[in-house]
Amino acid sequence: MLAILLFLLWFSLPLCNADALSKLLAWDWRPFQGQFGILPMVAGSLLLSFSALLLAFPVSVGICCFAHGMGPAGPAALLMRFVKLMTSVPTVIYGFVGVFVLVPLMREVFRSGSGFSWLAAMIGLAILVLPTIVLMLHSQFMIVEPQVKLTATALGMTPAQRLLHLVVPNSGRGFATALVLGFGRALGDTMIPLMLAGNAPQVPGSVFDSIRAMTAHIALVVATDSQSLAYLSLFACGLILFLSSTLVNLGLQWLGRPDGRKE
Amino acid sequence: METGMNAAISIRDLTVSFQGKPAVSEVSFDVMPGELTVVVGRSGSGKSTLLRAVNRLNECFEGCETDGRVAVRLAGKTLDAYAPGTDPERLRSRVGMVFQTPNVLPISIERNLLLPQKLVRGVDGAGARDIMERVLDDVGLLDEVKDRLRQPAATLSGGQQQRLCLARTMALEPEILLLDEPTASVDYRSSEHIERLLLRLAPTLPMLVVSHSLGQTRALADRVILIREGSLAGEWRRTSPDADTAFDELLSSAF
Amino acid sequence: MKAGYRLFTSFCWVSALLPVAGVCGLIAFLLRQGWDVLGLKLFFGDTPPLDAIFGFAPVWDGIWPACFGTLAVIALAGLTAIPLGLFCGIHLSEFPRSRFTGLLDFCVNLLAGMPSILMGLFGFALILFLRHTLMPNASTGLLLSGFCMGLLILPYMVKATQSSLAGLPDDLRLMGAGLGFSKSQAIRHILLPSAGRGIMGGVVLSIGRAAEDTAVIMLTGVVANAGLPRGLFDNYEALPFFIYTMAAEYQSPEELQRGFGAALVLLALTTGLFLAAHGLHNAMEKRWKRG
Repeated sequence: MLAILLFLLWFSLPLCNADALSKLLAWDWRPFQGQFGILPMVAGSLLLSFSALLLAFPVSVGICCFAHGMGPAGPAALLMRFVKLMTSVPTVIYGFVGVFVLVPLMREVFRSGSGFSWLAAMIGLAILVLPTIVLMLHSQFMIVEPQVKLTATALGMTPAQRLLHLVVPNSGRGFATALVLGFGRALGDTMIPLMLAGNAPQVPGSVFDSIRAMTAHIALVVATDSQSLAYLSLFACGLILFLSSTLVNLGLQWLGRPDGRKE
Repeated sequence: METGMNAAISIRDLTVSFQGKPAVSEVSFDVMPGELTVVVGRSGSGKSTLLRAVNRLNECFEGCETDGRVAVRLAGKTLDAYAPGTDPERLRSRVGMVFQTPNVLPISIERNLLLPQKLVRGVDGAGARDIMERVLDDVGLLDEVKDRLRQPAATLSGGQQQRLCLARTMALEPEILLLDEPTASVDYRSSEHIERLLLRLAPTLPMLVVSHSLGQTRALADRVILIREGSLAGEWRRTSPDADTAFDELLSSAF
Repeated sequence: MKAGYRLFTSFCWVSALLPVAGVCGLIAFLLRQGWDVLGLKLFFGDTPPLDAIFGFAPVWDGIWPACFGTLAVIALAGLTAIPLGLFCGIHLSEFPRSRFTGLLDFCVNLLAGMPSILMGLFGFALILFLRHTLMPNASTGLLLSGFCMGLLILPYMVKATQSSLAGLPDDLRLMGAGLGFSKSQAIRHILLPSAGRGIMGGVVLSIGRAAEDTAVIMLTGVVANAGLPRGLFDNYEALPFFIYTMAAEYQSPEELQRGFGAALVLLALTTGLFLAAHGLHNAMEKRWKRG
């Protein structure tokens, strides 16, 4: 298994080491004019992932609080089951429905171009990473909550006070893990950016602009055979993704709980 | 039996069951102000459940059903604990409770005492700090912790933690106190501190104490309620004639 | 203060309702659009079903070739990942920890966190590599997809095996030793059968992952209109990719309808697999929970 990983690394490294590196680390992607900058894609990936997290995280916290005392017990248990079930929905289906619901909606409501935009992909990704974050937070709350529930209740605290002042402040590690995990998932997903983001290789000026992620870039370039420098860009993207997912993993290891993935 | 008009806690026909199995059935008694009442019984006889019925803490457990009437006297008025209009948070904040095992919150010593005051009573700042020092002194903890107030409460020893829990409850200035085997898991020194404090508070603060210890019951109780398999099985009063022999008889049937 | 808490309460309710509404809306939308096409015709078009299944007649306007492709990829991925995953999992949970197991554990975690498109890219690179060196006419195809997909689901297998074995009570291990079994005998005859359901849960879960993933196969040999593959090195169709192409370049309302139908089929497949995995997992936990 290690050999496989090394192979991937080794395959991308020599391709990157050439003087092509400077060409790749540029802001322009115009394959027909010989410009193969991948920085717009890097920026696109980061922007998309962070914005999706920004959207999904508060909602996830809300869901977890709902499940841990803010909502009635029955619906709360049902909600957690539902979130677990969400992990089994294929990403291509999110993308598919996004194309036919979200994108026309964007077009209608914001009257901006085709509707394939940063915003659409951001919403899609947010839905995708939501279960990951919720389940991680949930497992953290499950550790903290029982320690304080009876005490806090006996002291006369309301569930809201208990969550805001005791459970949440004591779940810091869980929050960090959930964020890192969610980020890794958002960064690594291909189908939603590919199908919803419009894929223009540019740094977007607004959330309604088209954007291209590294993962989608790889898929696109492979699909449209072009010259060899384009392939180089592809492996460079692959390498960046590889390194970032390794970083995410090291981060998780450092946080001490590398489990709680999609399960 | 008394009418329950002036009782601090009045329990009538109380039945609590979990998943359909009764843990407490048809229990009625009163706790009078100034009369330290101790509940005794074998483990598993439903003492803790009985205690938790007073501040509606059984509701935290799944499949719990409570029947009967529990009324507490708060601020000169009788409050029906299970009436639909009763705010359980207010009830719990006025009826303090200390658990069998110390349950400090996973925050600093000082926050353990200040946070509940702020959240539950809205007391903040210097006022809250004054109360904190007073209650720490009451439980004999002030000298031991005054230099380490910002350390996590979990760094204290078991006995210290339990005294901290008692202090935390006292800081909310409850009108009634429930104690579930408060000295079951603490060292001798802490146990002594706690018992002394309880005796000092008893005349002004109505108390219901669950105890597992014969010696403690003898030392503390003005009145003993014996629970067997969820039902009331005997009573004793310090003021009754031939109290000593009656006590021995009751307790020998209990333990 | 009071108002703040009330705001928090409503925020929690809204958060809870949002995804539920979203996903229910999603399913309702798919059902409304795709319900009418569900049926034999969706799978086989105008070709008689039996002929189509056995490959006697080509299917032009049904999703059967895509279903078959998906099944084939799953089967190949399973063949790669299940034995390897079992072995890794056993090694990780039953043998003493050493530098090697630590490294292995780290690699499994790394692999689990790897974006799926990288697996595809790896397969793609592998083919390029082979073309330049050993086999000038190597091309992407079913076998490659199956292999890469196997890599993708391998960590799930390893984790499932590992945690099922770790969840077994220690008595069972002592029993093996007490009977004088060797380590491998104990694993083979006592531990593995006891952990069977948990491991099966892992298998089903991995299959679900293999069924849904699109990025891997996109880079390793799936094409839009291949019909049934003629061999292990041939190109093929697959459900998720079919859905993707329909979204991007459908040519008629009928095709679009088929896309919706395919999405429903895929959703039913993955959800069903997920529920099955969950059921197995729960059964496993119940069996070994004490008290």
